[in-house]
Amino acid sequence: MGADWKYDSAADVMKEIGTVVPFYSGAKFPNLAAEYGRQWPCTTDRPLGTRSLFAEGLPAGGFKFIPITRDVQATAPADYPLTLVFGHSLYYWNQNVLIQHSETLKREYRMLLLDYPEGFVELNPDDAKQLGIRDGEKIRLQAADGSAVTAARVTPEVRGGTVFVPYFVRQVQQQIRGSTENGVQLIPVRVAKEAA
Amino acid sequence: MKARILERADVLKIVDLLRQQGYEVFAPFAGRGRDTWFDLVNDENRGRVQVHLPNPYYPPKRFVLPHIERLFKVRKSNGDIQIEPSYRDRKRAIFGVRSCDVAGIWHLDRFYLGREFHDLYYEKRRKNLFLINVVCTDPERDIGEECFCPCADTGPAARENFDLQVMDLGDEFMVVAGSPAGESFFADPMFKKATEAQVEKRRAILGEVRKRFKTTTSWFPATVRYVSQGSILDKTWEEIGSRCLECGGCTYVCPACTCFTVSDRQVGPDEFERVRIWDACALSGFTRMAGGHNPRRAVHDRRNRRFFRKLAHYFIQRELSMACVGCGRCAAVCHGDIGMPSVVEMIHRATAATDKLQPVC
Repeated sequence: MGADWKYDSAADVMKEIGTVVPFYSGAKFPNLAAEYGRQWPCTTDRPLGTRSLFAEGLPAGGFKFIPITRDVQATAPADYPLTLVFGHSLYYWNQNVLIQHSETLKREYRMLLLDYPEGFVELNPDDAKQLGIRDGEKIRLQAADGSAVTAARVTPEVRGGTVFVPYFVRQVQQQIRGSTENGVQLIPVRVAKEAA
Repeated sequence: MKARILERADVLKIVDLLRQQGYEVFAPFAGRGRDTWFDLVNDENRGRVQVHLPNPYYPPKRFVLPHIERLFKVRKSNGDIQIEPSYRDRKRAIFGVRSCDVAGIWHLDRFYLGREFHDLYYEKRRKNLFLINVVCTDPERDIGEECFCPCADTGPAARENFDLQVMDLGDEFMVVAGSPAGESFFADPMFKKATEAQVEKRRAILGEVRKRFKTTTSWFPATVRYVSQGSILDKTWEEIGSRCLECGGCTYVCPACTCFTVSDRQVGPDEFERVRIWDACALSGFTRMAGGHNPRRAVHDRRNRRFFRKLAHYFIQRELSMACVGCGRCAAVCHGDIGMPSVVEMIHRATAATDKLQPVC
């Protein structure tokens, strides 16, 4: 990109990082190669790294916990009482390339497909009970911009008030969100039983 | 048991003798940091075999029960089906098996060969296995932060179930034979008779080493009783379960875990193989039944299963040993700090309070 860089090696780059970031000042390549790396912070005073921070006591004044305000709607809209969350699922990693090499992991992920052959979204048992939805039942998710039909996986692994969509269930995502990614991660929805 | 003395410089000659006799010899090697592993000894790496080093996390259990093992191959040709079993029966010797792992293999022996049904695959490997136990005597290099074999009564020196046992006496090594196969090695002139003083030295070193363990899990007997009586509160199991990340790491490093699963897979256009793979009770697929029902769906129910299998009297009686040998690997790998020592501590702390005996008036 036209920058005037004169580094001979990655070690040189690391040396410069060490001069700019004090916590890395001791993390030169020969030092890092001596063992299995060093524990951060690794400074010139502590070239072997630091196992526990503040082992000799807290800095003057100590630390204070300060509540932060988050830009989240405090109350869900009455029409859409639940929040849809998209995220990763334990046994689905990218294209599952690694899983193909492990018989045990393969079993774990096939298990979900056996139990929910058409995909699923996760629902907390309390919410499910209130809505009269049982594990594996067909449900409809209704959001302001779209709707989708899928199966419910009732599990205490999700918090009450949320519906979790594993990212590999792409169809649900598209139907709810539309084809465009607008960056919205939390979508208010309504859940109801769908006639089989 | 017979004991012999070996010059310090001659200890690895045991490896050479075994290789000359046609054994495939595996021995421990050290990499950077804490990294250690068992590897096949050849002419090139023979000089790098280590006697004192941290016990490898990947346990020598794999030499009797590999983490993945083909049971048989199925081939389809011209409408015909051929089934070809694959056994492994080459002579193998493992140098540097620690006492905890010797106890682990003994536990597996009892499980796979101890009753009416003998596992043929296991049996063929086990019958051809020669074990050279190394006693942990170096408190810095041999004994890890998490080791607790004195509590499981498996070490630091195994009492049985090895072929040869090597122990560092400082100036020389003492070699003890634990089987006729091991004793036959004493025919080699490099093994000298041991003196009374050397036997006494062995005793003194062992007495000293026992004091150098860093983890103490002294509540084992009480915990075995609580687990066997079923007097542990659900709340305690839930607390343990809530710290489990369901990775299965504890099982994959355990030298005494016996569980496996079986899977079929395609390996060629007309070829399939059936494999046996280590399995872990932490994974929910382990207990899921074919119809979809999972009797141990909650994580804490599966954790409960692990510690019941390891500590309940029923299993100790059946296998003649506890399925925990005190190697400390689970404690080293667990992200939730629910390795055996912590769990024993948690169970004891929570249950002892409810277990007060009524005073007699």
